[in-house]
Amino acid sequence: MIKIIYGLQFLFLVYAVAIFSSYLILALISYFEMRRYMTKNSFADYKMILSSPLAPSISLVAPAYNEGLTIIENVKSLMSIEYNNYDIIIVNDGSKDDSLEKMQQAFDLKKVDFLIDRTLPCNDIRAIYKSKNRAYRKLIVVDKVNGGKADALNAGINISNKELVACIDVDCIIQPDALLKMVKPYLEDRENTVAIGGVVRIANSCIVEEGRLIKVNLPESLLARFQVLEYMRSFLLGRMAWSRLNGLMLISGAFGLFKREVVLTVGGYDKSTVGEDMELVVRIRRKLIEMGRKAKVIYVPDPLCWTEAPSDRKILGRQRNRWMRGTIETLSRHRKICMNPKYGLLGVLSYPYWFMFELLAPWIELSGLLFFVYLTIAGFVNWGYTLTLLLFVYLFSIFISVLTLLFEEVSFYRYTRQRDFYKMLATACLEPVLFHPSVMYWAIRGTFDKWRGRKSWGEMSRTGFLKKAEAK
Amino acid sequence: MATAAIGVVILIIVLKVRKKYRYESEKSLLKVIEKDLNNYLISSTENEGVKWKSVHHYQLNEIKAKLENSFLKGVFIRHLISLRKNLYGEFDEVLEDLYELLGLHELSIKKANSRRITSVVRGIHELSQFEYKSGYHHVLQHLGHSSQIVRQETQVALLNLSAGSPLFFLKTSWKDLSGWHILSLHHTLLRTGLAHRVQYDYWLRNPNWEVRAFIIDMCVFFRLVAHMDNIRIHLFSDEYQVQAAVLRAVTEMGDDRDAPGVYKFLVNTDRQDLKILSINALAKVGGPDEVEGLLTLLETDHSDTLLATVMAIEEISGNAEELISNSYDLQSHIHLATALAHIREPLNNS
Repeated sequence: MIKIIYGLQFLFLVYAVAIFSSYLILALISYFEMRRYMTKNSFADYKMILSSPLAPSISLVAPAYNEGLTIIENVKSLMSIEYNNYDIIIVNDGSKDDSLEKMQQAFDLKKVDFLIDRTLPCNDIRAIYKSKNRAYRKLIVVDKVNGGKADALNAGINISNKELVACIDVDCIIQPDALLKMVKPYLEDRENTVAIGGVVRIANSCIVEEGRLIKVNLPESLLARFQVLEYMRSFLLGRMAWSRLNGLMLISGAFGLFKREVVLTVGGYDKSTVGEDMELVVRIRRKLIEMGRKAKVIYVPDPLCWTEAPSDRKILGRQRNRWMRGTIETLSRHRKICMNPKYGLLGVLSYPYWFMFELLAPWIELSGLLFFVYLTIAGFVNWGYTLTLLLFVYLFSIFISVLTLLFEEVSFYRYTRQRDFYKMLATACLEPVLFHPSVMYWAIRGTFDKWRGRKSWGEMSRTGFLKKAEAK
Repeated sequence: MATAAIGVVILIIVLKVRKKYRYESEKSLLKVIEKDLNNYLISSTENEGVKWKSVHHYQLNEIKAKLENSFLKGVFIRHLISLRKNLYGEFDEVLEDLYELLGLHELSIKKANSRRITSVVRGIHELSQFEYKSGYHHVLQHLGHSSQIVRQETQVALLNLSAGSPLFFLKTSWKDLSGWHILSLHHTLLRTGLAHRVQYDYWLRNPNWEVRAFIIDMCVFFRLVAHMDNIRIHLFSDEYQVQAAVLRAVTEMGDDRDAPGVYKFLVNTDRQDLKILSINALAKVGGPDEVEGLLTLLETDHSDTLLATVMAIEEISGNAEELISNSYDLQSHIHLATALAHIREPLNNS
């Protein structure tokens, strides 16, 4: 019995050391990559792209389902993006509200004959609309039978005839220079770059006018602040390093840029998964490697897209539950690449990392907890050692969060007020105790729901952004 | 671990304080120096008389006295660069002179000779922005630098400071020609007006396809029709990037003599993107013979190719509908009928 206990203790220790070391290594790589990015772009004149004949053409594809309340403001915001050679494809995914009627009225839309590429599977397209007003000539509205986000994105990609497609959430706030910044890495390696991801930041409590971010504020609610810290950690420490290693497996569904030809080649978004964003990136990489092509997935660390995070525990739980189901679906579908050297770094590092530290982490934490309860009951606990270990884990998680704050400070520095820093510091201290256990619980529930065959997205209601007048 | 976390927190606080201090210094410097600078700029462009020279000297010393350390000098250089971007005409030259008279070029050269990549890039950028020709050799030494960021900044700077052949570095640095870098070089050629000094025909014979594709694209951007004879011979070259550049050139220049060659290329290529580029080129240079050929391509399943072909037929003949319906039964070729409806729709062409 004692041998088993020691064995288990050793396994937990190895796991903890592995996860902590991986965080530190990723942080180190991120630091160098961030420095490289800042040096490279410190004098970059992005406006050159605006007048260049070399700029690639882009379609912004935004699915909309029951977005009637904000759709006009959102579309107008997309129209004011700084880029020349682009169009906006709004896919009305069978909304039950008046989204389409509102757009028809606001943009003077007319049904048009349009040749549609049917390469990607999607539900029936009822009609395509364009504006009679030349001011909105970049706008294409697609009305289709409801089929979910992936289906709507596929329809939009079919309609597009541009070199790149930017798949976005229609309710996100895209920074005006976002496309310019996303296109630059593509221009640096047009041949091999297949996808570019942008940083998504939390816009709760920020002031938004006419779909534009006017002032960046730290969220008032503690739950949203936990997510700010979590997003910052994930984007600045994690993805930056994976981008350097060319091992990125995920580009946020809220804002990602893809080479259209590649998306068509691999069959577009998979409608049967709730983690369609991750699944597409993994499939692109996998298929291109199998075809003997190079595939670079790049990540741009500038905060380019702002989204409203759930400020309600129930809704956040649903989101995390879905994320976990999406991860399981993607990893199980592409299990062939696990530890397979044929897939390079993706197979031998990225996949095992996701499997060990994203998918299994909540379960290992739970088993560690149960093991600890057993040891306590059986009287095997060395309290001095245990408390030291707990303190170490707690301090390590604070250290990683503080390191993220340092990265933010030296890079993009969005939360400028002194008190914001202290608030974030307090959030970092509270997060391991108040937020992390919930994340773990939602992830475990997500795994159960996956086993039970749950496929739904779960309702995601939003409260809306703060307007200038409301802020006063 | 606690010590490490506290250390990072202290570091952040120090950085915040430093940032605040630097921001304040920057603000106060620009505030106090603005009046002197305005006076200097106005007096420099107004009069060259003896009386003004002494005033000038006084103003220059006033500005110099306020630039106490390298940080403030750096701030001032950035300010001058931003002014240069917004001011035109004789102010441009005055700012270049001021940069030299204040000895700011020494700081830039020091940065360019530094070991830190960030400093080197900054130094090169500054020398290039003020077109400080005497700094040419300090820039040139970085042409073979191990960092691509430095090499690319060097090439743009050499183009800015160049006195002889503007693109001489292509001989050795052709590997750096990424899309972004091409865009920067094009932009610099456009801004400096050096495009006419490039030896296009010489570079079109370069053994590296990257250089050939770049030079063809430059000929397209500057509409250099005279080089078309040396461009079209590359259409059947091995590298598809060069072929794509030639097709873009044919489309832009619109020389009818290219039609048979492009058509021959179209029927022989397997690449979908090159097919579409060829069809687009034929739309500009093709004639009745090419329309006959294009009509045979309408059986394709690829909708982008189909649409491009229908549009090309329409552009060449002006009556695509009649020609297509004579060759195909539109009832059974729904895609063709939709493509025709698509090009008929005025809103699709706006």
